[in-house]
Amino acid sequence: MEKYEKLEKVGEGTYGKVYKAKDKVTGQIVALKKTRLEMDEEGVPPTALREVSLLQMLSQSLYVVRLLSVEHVDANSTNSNLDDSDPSKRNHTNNKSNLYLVFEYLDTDLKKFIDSHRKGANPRPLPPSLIQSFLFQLCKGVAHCHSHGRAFTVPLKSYTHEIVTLWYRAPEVLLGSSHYSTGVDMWSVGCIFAEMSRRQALFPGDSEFQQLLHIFRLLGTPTEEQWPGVTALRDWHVYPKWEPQNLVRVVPSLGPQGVDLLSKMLKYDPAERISAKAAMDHPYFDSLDKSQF
Amino acid sequence: LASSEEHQPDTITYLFASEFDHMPSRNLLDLLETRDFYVSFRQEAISLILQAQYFCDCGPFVPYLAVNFMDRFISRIEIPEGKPWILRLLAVSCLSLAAKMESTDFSVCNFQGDEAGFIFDNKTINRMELLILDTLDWRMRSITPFSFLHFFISLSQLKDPALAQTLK
Repeated sequence: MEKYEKLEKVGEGTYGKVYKAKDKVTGQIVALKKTRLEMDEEGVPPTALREVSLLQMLSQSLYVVRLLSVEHVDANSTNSNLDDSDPSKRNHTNNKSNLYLVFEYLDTDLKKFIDSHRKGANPRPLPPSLIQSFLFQLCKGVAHCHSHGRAFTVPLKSYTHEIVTLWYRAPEVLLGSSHYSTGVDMWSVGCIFAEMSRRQALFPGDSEFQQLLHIFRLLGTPTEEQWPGVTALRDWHVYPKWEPQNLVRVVPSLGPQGVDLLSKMLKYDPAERISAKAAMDHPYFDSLDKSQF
Repeated sequence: LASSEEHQPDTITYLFASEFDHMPSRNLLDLLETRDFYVSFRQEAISLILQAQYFCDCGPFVPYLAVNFMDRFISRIEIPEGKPWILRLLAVSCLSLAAKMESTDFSVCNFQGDEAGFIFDNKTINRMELLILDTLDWRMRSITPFSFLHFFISLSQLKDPALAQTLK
């Protein structure tokens, strides 16, 4: 890690810290994401292995943040060459490893960008053409991930329940389905689409239960006709029966094609939800010059 | 569902594009042609991996992946001769990594023990795992023949959707 000079801390989360840093040789500015590599009895954790290798594979796309390299640093670091000595004779305490993911550095993100249009000296809506362009690029990135994921991933037997930031979490995940698929991401894309237009979150729940109620109040309480199997999901309860509202009311500036695309992303039945690839061919993007992407 | 459609042309292009990132470097062929040591090293390691597969009863994916890791590793790092433990350590570490890619609840003990012929302590294996990961840039999602199966199944246009689903 001597290769990089840390400039400032730019983020911190449960996963670890993110630094803005400079490559001492090339001068390239990078983002260093530092995570503890929790080495237990079984060595490198399978989750870290699966995630980092997935990131390595997906970041070939221009629409996915680029992972430049992965550096692992032993707390008591020595050189790691097969020649130096018989490793079975070393007595290393090997449980304090750090993993640095070296990403390209990006000045901002969509959240900060939307915030800058909501607060501050000059609050203003995002221009419709910009929303259109951002959404297209988002769909392109998601389509890339989905086509790779399907082809390369060895399916796990069961999936974690706690995925995706609450506000963007799909109803099937909230209701305890363990066999969700790519549709969960399209739900999130829909939420982000609406948020770009509204400059505030579409479903800002503060608990899983509140999250569901936010969704039901806008889209109506789902029924078996609409979404076969919904009442059999693990966390389904009897909810008040809300009627679906007109989406135009929450995204008035989106226009009819935009509202139509949004409604296809927010379909209750995951099987009916539009795919990222199909979304890119939706008439909403007809006025976009796609050749630039 | 629409999945067969989604496995069409794009995917196969991605597969070939990505395959290059997960292949041994070119000099592996040279090594195998010019140095007898590498030929026997590789044969022995593969034999160990296949034996371990037999003992732990895992599917074909794990040993295939393990051999891919091993080939890539030895094509990038010079293996010193006359240290037979390296062969065993490399084989068990590649197996361990491959098994972890397939399933999250894996214990390296499955491969250890007298029968399987591996007797390293966990710390040693962990160190070797990290050395392999660093050498392979953490690119562990190798393209295997299994990656192409989906594509061929969707090409064959099976009339019975249930059968197609089972094959997948």
